[in-house]
Amino acid sequence: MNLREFILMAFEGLIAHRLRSALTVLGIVIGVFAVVTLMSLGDTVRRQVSGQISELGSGLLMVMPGRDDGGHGPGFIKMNLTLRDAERLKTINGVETVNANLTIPARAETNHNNLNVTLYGDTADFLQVQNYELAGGRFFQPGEVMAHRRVVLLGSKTKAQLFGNGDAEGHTIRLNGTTFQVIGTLKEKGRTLGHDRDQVVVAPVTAVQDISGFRNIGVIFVRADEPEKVSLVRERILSVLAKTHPQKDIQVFSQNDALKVSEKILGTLTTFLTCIASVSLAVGGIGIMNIMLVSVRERTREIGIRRALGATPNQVMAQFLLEALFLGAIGGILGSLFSLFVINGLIFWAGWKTTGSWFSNISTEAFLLGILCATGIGLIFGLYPARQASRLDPISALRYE
Amino acid sequence: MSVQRNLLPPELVKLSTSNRRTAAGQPLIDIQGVGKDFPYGSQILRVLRGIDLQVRPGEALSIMGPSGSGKSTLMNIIGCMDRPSRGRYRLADQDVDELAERDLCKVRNRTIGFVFQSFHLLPRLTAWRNVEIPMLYGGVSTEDRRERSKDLLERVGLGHRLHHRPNELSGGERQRVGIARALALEPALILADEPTGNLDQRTGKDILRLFSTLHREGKTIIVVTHDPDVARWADRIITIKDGRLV
Repeated sequence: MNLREFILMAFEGLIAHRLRSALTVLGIVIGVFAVVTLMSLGDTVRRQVSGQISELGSGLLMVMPGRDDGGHGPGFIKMNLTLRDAERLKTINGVETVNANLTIPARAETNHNNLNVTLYGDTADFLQVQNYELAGGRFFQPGEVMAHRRVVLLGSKTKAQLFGNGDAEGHTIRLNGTTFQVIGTLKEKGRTLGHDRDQVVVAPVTAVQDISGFRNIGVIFVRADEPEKVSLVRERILSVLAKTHPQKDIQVFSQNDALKVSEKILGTLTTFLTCIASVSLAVGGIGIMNIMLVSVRERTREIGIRRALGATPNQVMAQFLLEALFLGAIGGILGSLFSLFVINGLIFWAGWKTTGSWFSNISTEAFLLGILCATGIGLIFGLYPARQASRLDPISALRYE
Repeated sequence: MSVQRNLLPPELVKLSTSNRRTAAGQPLIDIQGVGKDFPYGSQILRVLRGIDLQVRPGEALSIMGPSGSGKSTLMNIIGCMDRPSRGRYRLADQDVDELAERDLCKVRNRTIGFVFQSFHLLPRLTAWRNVEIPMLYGGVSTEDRRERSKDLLERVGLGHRLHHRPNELSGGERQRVGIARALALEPALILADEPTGNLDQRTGKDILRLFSTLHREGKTIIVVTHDPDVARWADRIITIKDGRLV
């Protein structure tokens, strides 16, 4: 008896109890769906974050408030960096650019339209550091930063919302009530992690300080002139800032640090969630075992007939084992496909930029692993019932009512 | 009805025991001093005691006996579904006692054709597919199986019922499917357990007539029954009582 016959027979067995098979498969579908979706989403988020951090370039350092011994994360802490700190960092040997950044939410208005935007207060090297490109006009000069000039550049969405297809340069807008002159526009950047990088405006950090009332700045971006010098520059930054910050209330992150931290957090989170999801997969496996035991009991007479007609115990075992295996495999395939749809739906909904192909968004390992795991679970949880079936005594099996 | 076409592939024809000549004068079934015990609580129940039985190839035999006489146990042993506790059993020149479980399955598959009282057809399968089952385990290719199964059903007069499931067939028709299935691999021995037990008298007679046809074609047939009218069908009747032949 060849494999094809066994496969056919197993399918006949499953089709004979459609509803029962479908419900058993559903248990596996849910388990596989949960595992594959969480693994893939974790993967996607990690790639997005890593991509965003990598975009900053490997020579980049971020100086932020905070303590090296942990405690607070940035953002929940008092802003304690000043423009003078940024000025001092410019004197360090090996530093290419220094950007003082103060980012605040703002309301942008023209006479006809208004929009809530993210206002980046920055210095003249903003474009290189943040990887924006000019779409039109010009960027502001260092002198304009020093002079607290009320000039502004518009992100692509801000420009579209406020000015439509018309020209923006030369016009004025109001930011939180203060009038700024538009000197340029930025090219589209897309969304990253739910943050729209096009619904922004960029103005000199000094002007943003003026209109926000903050005397300090949020972050200083320092770019080393060579990526290899990052750790050296980091040491120098710390020693320079030690004079103005004797309490050591600042932190210096390199791009690698940020990458490591985010990988660690997201990796742990993904593993944790996947473990929880695996529990449902195991429950699905127990469902298979349960239904197979019922099936063996119910088909005792059939087993007796087959044994009387010459089936060996191994052939009986193979029949039931294949049924269990198919339950698992079908569940695995459906669960993984379902997951594929949901993940692409989520990504579409979140508006993340992806490489385009549907399958690129799902973690390939997760997809294959999901199918493989489910098949394996069918096999493992089908083993015991199939063994029971093969061990039945033909005479009493025939007599079984 | 008597058309006998041999559709088995050559290697199976060789295996098929009806074509295998038992050594001249040798009985197809040779049972000597066979006993069977079953544990019954703390005691041992001696269901069969010292059975001696020889059946020649081509013989038609009835085994009679009231319920509890041990005739089912004897039938199980003859059918290689069970092993004797004592004694020797040779079937078609093979010492059954020495065969491994795997080989017993093969004997059940190739050498014996079972016909059951309650037919024992698989309810989900059509008559056609039911007859295919022994050939499935016998390794007959799909096409040969289909063709032979159809042929067999035509041979028992059910050519028009190929695609019917057992619950769409009458009792007599079901038993005919059972007989067609028993003939699937041209076994040396047809072993029928109360083949007419679930049928009305007229249908039962039809089934016995079918057995007679097979007998005339040279099949060895053993019918186990408690009904003297059925038993009288055979050339030879043996009676079993309290585990002994009388």
